[in-house]
Amino acid sequence: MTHDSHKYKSQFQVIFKEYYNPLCNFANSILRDSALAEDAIQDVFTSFWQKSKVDTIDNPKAFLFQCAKNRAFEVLRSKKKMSDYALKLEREYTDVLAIEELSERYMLKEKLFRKIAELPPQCQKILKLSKLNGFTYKEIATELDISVKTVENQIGRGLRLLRLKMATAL
Amino acid sequence: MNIDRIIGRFLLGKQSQDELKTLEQWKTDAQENLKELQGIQQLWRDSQGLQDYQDFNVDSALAKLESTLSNDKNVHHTGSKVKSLLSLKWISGIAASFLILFLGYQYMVTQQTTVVGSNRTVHLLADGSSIEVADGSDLILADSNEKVFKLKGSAYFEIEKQENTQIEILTDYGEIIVVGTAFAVQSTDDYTTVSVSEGKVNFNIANGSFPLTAGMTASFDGQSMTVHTLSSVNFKSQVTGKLIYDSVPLYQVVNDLNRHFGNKILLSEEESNFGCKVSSVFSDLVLADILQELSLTIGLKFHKEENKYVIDSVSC
Repeated sequence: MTHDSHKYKSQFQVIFKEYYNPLCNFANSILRDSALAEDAIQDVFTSFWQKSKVDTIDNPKAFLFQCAKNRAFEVLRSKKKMSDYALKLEREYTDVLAIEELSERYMLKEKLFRKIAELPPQCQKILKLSKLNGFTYKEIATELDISVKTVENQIGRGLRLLRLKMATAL
Repeated sequence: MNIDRIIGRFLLGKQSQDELKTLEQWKTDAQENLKELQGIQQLWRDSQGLQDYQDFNVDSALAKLESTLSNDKNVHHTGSKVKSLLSLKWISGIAASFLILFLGYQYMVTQQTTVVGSNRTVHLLADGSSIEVADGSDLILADSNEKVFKLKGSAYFEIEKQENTQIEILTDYGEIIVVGTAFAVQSTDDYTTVSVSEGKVNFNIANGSFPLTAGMTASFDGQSMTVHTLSSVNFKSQVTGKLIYDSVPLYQVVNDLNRHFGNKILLSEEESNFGCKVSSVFSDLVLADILQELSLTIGLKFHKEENKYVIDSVSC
């Protein structure tokens, strides 16, 4: 299959769409800058297109996360922003956590994020404030002008629904 | 007892002694309840890491990447022009060999079935029309001009309108004649369903022709034809795997689920009794899981009879 064939392009697009968001979030966890993270992942995919063959890589997920990790730390070094925290993170990502485990972790986050967005509006809003913004139940109640009792109820219901959705997705 | 609220409080460790007793009782009532609570606790832990998780714009990133690669390709082509000229002699020799192989291949193609799309691929026609083929489906070319196709499974068609040209799709239960429109076809061993998003198509079966316009969905199982008018938002669902409902009355949701899953739900009460509205997105879910979700959100009660689900009541 050549790079120009329609089948190759659509295979590449499927991979891009599946991994772009979790890869950007992964890079952002290193770079702490969403614009830089997006640039880094653009570089990763450009190189992936130019130098690799989508249909010959057995595990594109591990491959892409490995490239994303390398690229993100390269960017930090080139900008001389390699802090103690970043050094510690690099060691952790290299020594402690295998890339396979890291990529699984981010793919799980992606699924959770997508499935929360599929919940009914009220459940979705409350779970997002709780899990994405880190609000307490009381803060959510104040923010949405509802009772804490309603928040507790919607958190329980939202998680029961989310479990059903995740059971099928995983 | 509101088990949702008790779970919500339990996750923060704020439950009272009475609530804890109720929860313990609920856990012992059914094995499934225990599994559900364990699953929820796991989800609660997993989602701790979601803080700061963002939704980056994948479509614009893909467009940017394609533009970069296309510029890169142009530059590369200019640079390699001299080299290309040098290899012209070689190319002409190789081309002659390929021509012979190609003619042989064309001969073979006309002698056998040609699958032009399967498993979520997009097949583009010369006039810009596109056909998206769902997972586990085959789109087979039935003439060399790409005007007649045979479909096994599901596909979504966006056909450009052209004078004096029509596309035909052949299925086990009828043929679909198209001039210019967007529509979905689901062709199974048991029935064929046609759902029109835009324009008009004719659904021809053995004893007649059914003209279908935007918003209409028709299903034929060899015996009877059922036609409904629905919102066309989900007509591509066989390809995308997604069903989206935003404040949609339950009876319409049921009709839409019947369109998607092939008449698997029976309404045991009058449609008008179901005044509830549904707001949710279902991705790649089986019907049993969707009904389970609806039982949590709108108190839907149902039971299974042979291979169909019967809706008994709702309590929203």
